[in-house]
Amino acid sequence: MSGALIQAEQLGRWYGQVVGLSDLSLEIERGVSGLVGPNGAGKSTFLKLVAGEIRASRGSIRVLGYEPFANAELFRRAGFCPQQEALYEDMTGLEVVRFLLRLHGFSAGEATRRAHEALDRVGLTDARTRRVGGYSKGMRQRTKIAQALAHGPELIVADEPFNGLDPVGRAEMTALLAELGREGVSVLVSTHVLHEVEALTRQMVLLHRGRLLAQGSVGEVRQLLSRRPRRVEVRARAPRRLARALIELDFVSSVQIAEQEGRVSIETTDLERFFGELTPIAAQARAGVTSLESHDASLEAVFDYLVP
Amino acid sequence: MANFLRVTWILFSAHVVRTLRARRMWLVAAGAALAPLVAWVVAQSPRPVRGLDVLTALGFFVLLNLMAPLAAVIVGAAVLGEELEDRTITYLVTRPIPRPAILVGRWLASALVLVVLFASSAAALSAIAGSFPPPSSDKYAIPEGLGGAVVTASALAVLTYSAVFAALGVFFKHPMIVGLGYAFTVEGFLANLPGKNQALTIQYYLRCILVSEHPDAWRQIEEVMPRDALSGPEAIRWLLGIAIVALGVGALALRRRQFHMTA
Repeated sequence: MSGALIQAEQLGRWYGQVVGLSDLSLEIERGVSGLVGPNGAGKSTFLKLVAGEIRASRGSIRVLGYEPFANAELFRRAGFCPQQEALYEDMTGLEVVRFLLRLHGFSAGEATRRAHEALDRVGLTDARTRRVGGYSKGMRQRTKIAQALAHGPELIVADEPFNGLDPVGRAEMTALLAELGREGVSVLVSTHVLHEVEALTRQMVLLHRGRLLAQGSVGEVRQLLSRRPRRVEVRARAPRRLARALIELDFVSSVQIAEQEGRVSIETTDLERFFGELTPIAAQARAGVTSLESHDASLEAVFDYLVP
Repeated sequence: MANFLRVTWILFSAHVVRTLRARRMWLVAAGAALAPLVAWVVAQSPRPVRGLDVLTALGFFVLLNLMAPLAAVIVGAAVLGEELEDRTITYLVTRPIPRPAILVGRWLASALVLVVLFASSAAALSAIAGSFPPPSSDKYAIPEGLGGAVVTASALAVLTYSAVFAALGVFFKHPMIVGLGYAFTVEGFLANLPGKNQALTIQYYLRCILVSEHPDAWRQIEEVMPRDALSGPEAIRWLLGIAIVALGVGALALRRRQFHMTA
């Protein structure tokens, strides 16, 4: 068994015709990690798979060495804070956490003690005896985190735990998750705001449209993205002459010609240099460039969106 | 097994309290109270009415045919439906518990409340019907044990129906619609057709409990009665069997059921 916290191989999950996650292969090491991506990237789907709430449509996933779906052994060792705000509205915060602790097998007395401790830890000491129905969004987030950590898990999976928190609350939540990390608890946190993860950890997984875009530290991810070949399509009156000139460049990795359509498809490892050099080369080759299109512009847009 | 019983008990205890607090229980309690309430109103009438007619008509048509299935579908569909609607099922399915205990524990809590309500309602109806002036002929007197049969049938009606509707909640997104369709269309049709197909309905076994002890009392109000009715104990065994099988099938399916909760 590998020491990785989470291992996914060709993991896919779809909901009818909608692809939630596609062909995802990754390993996440122990420690605090951030799962980043815009809305619809597949973060929640991945976390639901990690938490054992749903099954994969294809591929496999192992968490702490277990197949997660409906796995009681994993649930003893992991805590899940779901994205939805839902809690038992007619119970108090204390009752919610105590009830869920009882399901873990703790005696009534021990469950009460741990529930108090967890609610103190998330800063809900004063509100613990109030009905959850009257809680603010931030208080709900804290209660959800409390129920996820109360049984002392070695992995906490938190889906968008910063949602609904004010700046002070966000800072407190960051501090709490970082503290859990220092105590040796592995934490996997999803967010669509990168700086929330940056404040917590340097390890991140970047998802986009259900696929793994990059993984590593923020710096590594930047580098990976810049090294990734980008496709550019150029239409020209003399595509063959243009292709001959472009293939000589060391930052052009491949060139394909569709002569009848007057189209040249280029893969480049350095988009910026390519655009810089294209005009003089095209002029010298008398290629007669009529249009230029980068199909991977969306990749850039995603990264620009995530990394201000 | 010990863990299953422990978790069932925890879920049962929590759900009993939540069931009693739920608004739908007021509706169900009002429905259960309808038959004795109507009986009481009739008792105030100056027109001479036989207590036997009141007990059989209200016991059969209002309690067993209408209110018991209706209450059972409202409460039974909520056994899982409440957790799904409130999107709290995530907390249960990510705990180290035997999943069948979620269905069984929550159903037991719902069934307990329903049985108490409907047995009390049937007992109240019997008591009110028994307080009517004695009829001119013994033929129209309420036979001994008839009230007890109505109480037993009412309790078993909500118990069995709620188990079936709770199990439907594992398979269907809208178990209440499916349950209503089943109770009032499928059962209503099959149970009132002459022949053996009646045995495919819960109503058949409930009627057997009533008819087996006092056939004359019931034939006055119902043309289509089982010709070869089962004995009361046999019918009770069948009803309990249906409830256990329904819960068993639902519990087995729940073990592999996925719940995708959106934000």
